[in-house]
Amino acid sequence: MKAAVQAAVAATRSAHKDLVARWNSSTGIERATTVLLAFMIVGGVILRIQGIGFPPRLTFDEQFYGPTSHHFLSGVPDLHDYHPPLGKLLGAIGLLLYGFNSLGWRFAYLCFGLQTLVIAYFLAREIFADRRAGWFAAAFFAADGFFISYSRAGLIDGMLTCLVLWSMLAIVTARTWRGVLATAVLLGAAASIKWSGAMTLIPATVALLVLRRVRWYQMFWFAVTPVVHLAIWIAGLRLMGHANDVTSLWAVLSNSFTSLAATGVYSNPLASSWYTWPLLYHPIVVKLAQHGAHSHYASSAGNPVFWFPASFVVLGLPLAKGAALVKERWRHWWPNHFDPTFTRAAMLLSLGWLALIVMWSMVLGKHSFFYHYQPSYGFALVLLAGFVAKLERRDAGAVLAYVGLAVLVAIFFAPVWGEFALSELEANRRLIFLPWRP
Amino acid sequence: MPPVEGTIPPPQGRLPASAVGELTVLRLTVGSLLAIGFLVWLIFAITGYGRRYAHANDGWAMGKSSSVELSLVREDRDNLACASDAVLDGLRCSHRANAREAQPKPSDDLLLRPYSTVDKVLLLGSGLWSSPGMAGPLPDKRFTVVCNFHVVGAIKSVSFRWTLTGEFSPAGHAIPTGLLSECVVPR
Repeated sequence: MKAAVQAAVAATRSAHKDLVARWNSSTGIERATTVLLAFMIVGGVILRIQGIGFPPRLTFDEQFYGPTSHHFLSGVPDLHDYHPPLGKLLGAIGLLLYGFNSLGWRFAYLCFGLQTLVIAYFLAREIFADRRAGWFAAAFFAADGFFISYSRAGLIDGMLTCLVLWSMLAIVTARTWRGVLATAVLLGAAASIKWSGAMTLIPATVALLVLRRVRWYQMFWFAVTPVVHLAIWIAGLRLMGHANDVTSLWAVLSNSFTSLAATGVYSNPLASSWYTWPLLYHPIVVKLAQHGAHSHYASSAGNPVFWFPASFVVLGLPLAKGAALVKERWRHWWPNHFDPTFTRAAMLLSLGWLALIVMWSMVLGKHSFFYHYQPSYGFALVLLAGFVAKLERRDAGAVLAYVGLAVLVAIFFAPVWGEFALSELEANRRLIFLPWRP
Repeated sequence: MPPVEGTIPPPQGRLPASAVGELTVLRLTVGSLLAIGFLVWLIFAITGYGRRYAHANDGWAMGKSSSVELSLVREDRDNLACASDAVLDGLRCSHRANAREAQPKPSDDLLLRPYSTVDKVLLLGSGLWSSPGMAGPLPDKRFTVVCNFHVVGAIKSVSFRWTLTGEFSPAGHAIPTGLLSECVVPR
């Protein structure tokens, strides 16, 4: 504990020093960009916290998680949700603090939503070896509706994204077996929120091999991941008073898996195909409440100023790198623009994006939803942050204009991300496309 | 300082070493999550938001949900009944105002029964016995059940019966009426 406090104090001092030094050495344009980034971070935090208890009832898929957390605490048998138990177990912390009410069942998810900004900062900073990229990443995550809406709802997808990115941060910073072991534990935790989190093993393993900061055989620590996952399952079953021996656990896992797979045959008006996600085609309103003559929306539509460029860089950079490998004309172009650090980071983040999206092209049939894209989008947004930070060194004015536009768009969409009281007309002005509306 | 086993010193051309060590990053990130939790809790505590919201459900208002703790014995499933001609959002008593059984008898989801909270407050609720948390064996002595109570209205002209063979007696005042869900016996 003392060490953690000392580390936090040292980090705060270091961050303050760094901030003052960077501020003093930066140009007027860069300072203006910094102010806008700070505005996005502060505004994003406020948007996430304000009025989170409203509506005082379960909305959208909260019915799967809030009551289950309640059942964990009260030891009531409950297997109606097929996902692994960690999300609901962590969600129960809010219930312990506030009781079984809307603030209680959203508290933990809000904390993880805010933590994602911290993780995004560190991941971008470490993977690009560039603090400025870290600040861009934190600001982009802060001012994006996909992450804002999921921070405000008692839904496990935001928690999953946080742990997926956290796992990547752990492997990127790993220098010894301890770092790899921490990655394995975080991967086990991510997979215990939703099984799809296990796909992070792919970019994590490749990162270990490509970055070569630890010996290749340290990857065997990843064998701890399934152990962590099973231990969390057993703890969850025990808390609910279910049988938790190996046979019973296997039966629960099989039943959960087959039940999830079986949902793929059912049509759902909220479902969308994986290939539509990078196009922002069918975001979901994850909270909607009528109050008097007004409604309150929490739409998962991302900030378009980030969304489309993120899709562009996460697809375009690997393609350009591929072209650079085979085309003579591109061979010299790539190293002139991108150093090895950026190249490795871009390829790893693109791989992370691909690993977390590719399974949705193969499984669950009609039962894939926009929110399944969130971890992938997290990777894309970190990559965009690194790209923009790099671009700033070449054209700071263009980046200032871009960030300014992002702020304006965020202000425009804030009412439908942060559940302001709106008339239907005011909401529809922002949710401009029919598939965006509830 | 000798290299730690299993590590490779970063050769030229590779990514520069992290500004902070692996354990420092982990400590910082774990610490930041705890700090965030504490700060959010502190904000809610200082502004009174947490207290206000946590108890916002205590006042029963139409359309709102609140947590209630009811005092029961397992025979109450059969013992408790009400009589009224009022129907609220499809919710109704098992008996009409003249004490004759309503036909057809509504399912448990829609069937109102009188309950008393641990604070001795009367309410009319449906759905308690069909909650998943009530599926297992129930205690054989008096016990309490925690439920969500979603108020859909109030019924004034209603009579109660507390035992299977007892007479209906009028309530005499408006009784909050609604849906009971997520009922669990606290363990």
